[in-house]
Amino acid sequence: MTIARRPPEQVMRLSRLGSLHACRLSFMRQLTRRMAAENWQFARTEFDIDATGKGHAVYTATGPERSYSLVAFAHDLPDEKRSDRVIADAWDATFALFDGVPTKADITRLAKNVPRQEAGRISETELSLSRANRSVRLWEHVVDALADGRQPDASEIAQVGYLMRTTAVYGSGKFGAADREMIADRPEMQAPFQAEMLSVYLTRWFVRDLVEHIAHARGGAGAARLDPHIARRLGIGNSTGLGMAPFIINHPVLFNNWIMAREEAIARVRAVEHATSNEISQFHEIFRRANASVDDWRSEHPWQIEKLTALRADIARLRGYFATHEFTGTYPWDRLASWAEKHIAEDAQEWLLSLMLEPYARLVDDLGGCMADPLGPTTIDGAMPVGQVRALLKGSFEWALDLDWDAPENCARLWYVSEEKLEPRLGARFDEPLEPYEQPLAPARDAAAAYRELARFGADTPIAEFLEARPEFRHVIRRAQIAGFAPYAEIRDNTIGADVMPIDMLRAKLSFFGATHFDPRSDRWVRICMYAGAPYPDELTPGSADFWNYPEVAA
Amino acid sequence: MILSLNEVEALARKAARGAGLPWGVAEEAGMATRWLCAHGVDGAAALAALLRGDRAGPSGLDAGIKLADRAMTVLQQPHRIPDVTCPALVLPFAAAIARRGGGNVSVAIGPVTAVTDGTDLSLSGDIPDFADIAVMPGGELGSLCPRVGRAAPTGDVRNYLEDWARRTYAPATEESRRMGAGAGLTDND
Repeated sequence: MTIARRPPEQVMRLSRLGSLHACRLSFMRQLTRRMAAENWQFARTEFDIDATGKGHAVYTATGPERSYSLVAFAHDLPDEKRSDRVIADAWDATFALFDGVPTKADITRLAKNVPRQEAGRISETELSLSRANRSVRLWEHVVDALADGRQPDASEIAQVGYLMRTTAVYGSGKFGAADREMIADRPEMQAPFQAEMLSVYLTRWFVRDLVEHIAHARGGAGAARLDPHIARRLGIGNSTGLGMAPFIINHPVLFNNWIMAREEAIARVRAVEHATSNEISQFHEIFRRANASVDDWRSEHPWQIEKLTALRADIARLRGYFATHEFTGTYPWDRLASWAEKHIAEDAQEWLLSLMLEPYARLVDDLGGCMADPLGPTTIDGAMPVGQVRALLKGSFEWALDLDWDAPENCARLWYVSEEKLEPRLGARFDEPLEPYEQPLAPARDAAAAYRELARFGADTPIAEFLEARPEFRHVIRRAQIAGFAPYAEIRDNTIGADVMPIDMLRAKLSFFGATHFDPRSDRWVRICMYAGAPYPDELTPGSADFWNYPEVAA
Repeated sequence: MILSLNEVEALARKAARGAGLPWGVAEEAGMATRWLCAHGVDGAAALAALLRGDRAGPSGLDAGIKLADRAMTVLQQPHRIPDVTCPALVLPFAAAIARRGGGNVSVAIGPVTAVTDGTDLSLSGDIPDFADIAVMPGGELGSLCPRVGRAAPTGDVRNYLEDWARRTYAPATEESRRMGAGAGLTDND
C-alpha cells in the first residue's frame, strides 16, 4: 500500500503551520548527526576575555575537508541598550562564522566590524553574522551560584532554558558575507541553514565557557564549574520578529521543499505495514521523552498557555488511546494518524506525526538532502496558456477568489520595511499612511485580482500577452507557475487579514530549524530554544547526536 | 564597496521598485543585475542608466522580458529591436532563453556579439550604452567572461540605486517604532 502525501489544502493552513514541531529532518539534527558520523574535531583556539567579560574567542570545527571557526566578541553592555529588536545597535556578544581558520589579520578586521553588526561589513570568508543578548535573570543566577561554589538551581534553568539568546543570525550574502552558491556544493552545507546552525551550536559552547569565566573572575579559586548535566539542559535562545514571515513567502520553492520532505516522510512511515517491536518500543520511549519536553514548555502569553493546555490534554487523550491501539497490527502508524485526525487537534496531530518519524531513520533521513532549493530563480514560461495559469491560481487560491478583498477585515494589515535599520513591520492599513510601502506579501489577494483580470483574455492566449498588457501581475504569474511544480509553495490563508497571527509563520520556519519551546511575546514576536539537551562538542558521538531534543527521563 | 551577489540583487530589485516598476518587473531587474555582475559585467551601472532614463526607446530590461516571455519563437527565428537603451540587460534573458531551448543563443548588440549557453557568456567587445539588438538561436561561445562571486559597483552607481531603494522604506515614526514589530524596546528580563 502506498499512502499519498497530505494535500496542501490540509497542510498549508496558517493554524497548522503555526502548530508544527521539530522532527528528525530539522536542520540542527541534520547537522549534529553529520558531525558525529564524520567525527568532526572541535577546538577552542583563543579565549582572550577579561574579568569584566570583554574580549574575543575563537572556536574551530573541523570536518573531513574543511574547518569553520566561530569568532566571538564579548561586550560589556549597559542594561538600557539591551534590546532584541533589529533596531538595537549593541549586544552582549557578537559573532561571525569564518570559512576556515582565521589569521590574526582576519580577527583584527572582524573586531572592527562584527561588533557593529549591520553597520559593519564582512566578506566572502564569512558565512554568517550574528549576535546574542543575555537572559539577565538566568545569567545573574548562574554567575552568582558558580562564583559562590554552588550549582545553579535546576528550576531556574528550566524556567528560562538558555543563558543567551541570539537576536539575528544572518547568512547568504548579508552584509557582505559569502553567497549561498559559494558553499552550496559542499556536502556539509547542502542542507539549508547549516552554516547558521553550526554558528549557533558553537555559540552555545562559547556561552558556557563565558559564564564559567565570569563566575571564576568573581569568585576566584572557590568558583564552581557548571555541572555537565545542567550545562546540557541549557540551549541557546532565539528572539525572532517579523523577518521570518516574509522569508517563507519570498522563498516559495524552498519552503515547499521543507514541507514536502516532511510530508513525504510522514507518508512513508504511514505506509509501513508492520512495525518491529524495536520500532514500537522506540516510539514509546520518544513519546515519553517528548512528553517531558512539553511539560517543561513554559510561556506567559495567554494564547500559548491556551495552546499548551490543549496540547497537554490531547497528549493525555493519545496516551489513553495507546491502551487499545494495535501497534502490532497492519499499518499501525497510518491507523494512529487517522485516529489523531479525528480525535485530537492540529497541534497534537503535528506533534504525533513528528514523533512517528523517529524510529525510521532508514525511511526518513535521505529526505534531508531534498530540502534545499538548487534550482535558483524561476523563469516565467510565457507560452503557458491563460487558461492553465487560471487553473493554477484556482488550485492554490480557490478559497480566496470570491473573498471581498476590499472589506476592512480582509485587508486590515500590510507588511512593510521601516527605514529604521530596515526592520520588517506589520501596519494597520486603515490607520497608518503606509500603503505606498506595502511589500508583496499577500499572495492570495494578488492571485484573486489576477484571476479576475485574466478572465478578460482568451483561455488559449499565451500568458506573455497578458504580462505585456498587465505587468503589475508579473509576480503573481511567477508564483502561479511555481505552484505548478511545488504544491506546498503557497500558504492557504490570508496573510493580511485582521486576525492574521504572524507568529504562525515564524513557528513554521523555526520548527524546521529544530526549535523548541515556542514562547510568543505578541502576535508577531516569539522566543524559542535551540540545542537544549544537545551534546557539547566534546560529548558529540553517533550515540548522542540524534535524539537529544527529547529530554532523558526515567522509564 | 564590494557587494555580495545577494546584496546587489536586493539593491537592484528595491531600486527598480522604488523607481516605480511593478514588483514582478523589479524582481527581473534584480535577477538580471545579479546575473550580469556574476559574469563580470557591471549590471548595476546598466540598471542605474536605465533608471536615469536619459534616452528614449525600449530598455534592455523591457526588451529582455518581452523576448524571454516569447522564448519559443525567439528560438525559431531572429528577433530585432532597434534603439535599445542599456542593452546589456538583455543578456540575462538571452541566457534564460538558451536554458529553455537547451542550446546557445546569440545577441548582436550594435557591433558586439554576445553568446550564451544559459550558464556562461562570451562577449566580443565592450557593450555600448545604446544600440540596435538582434537575438537569435545558435552561435559559438568565444572566450568566457570570468564568473565572479562579488559585485563592485562604483560608489556613484551604488548611491544612486540606494536613493531609489530608500523609497521602498517607510519613514520612521514613533507609532511605527512602537507598534510595528510587536515587541518592546528593552529585553532585560
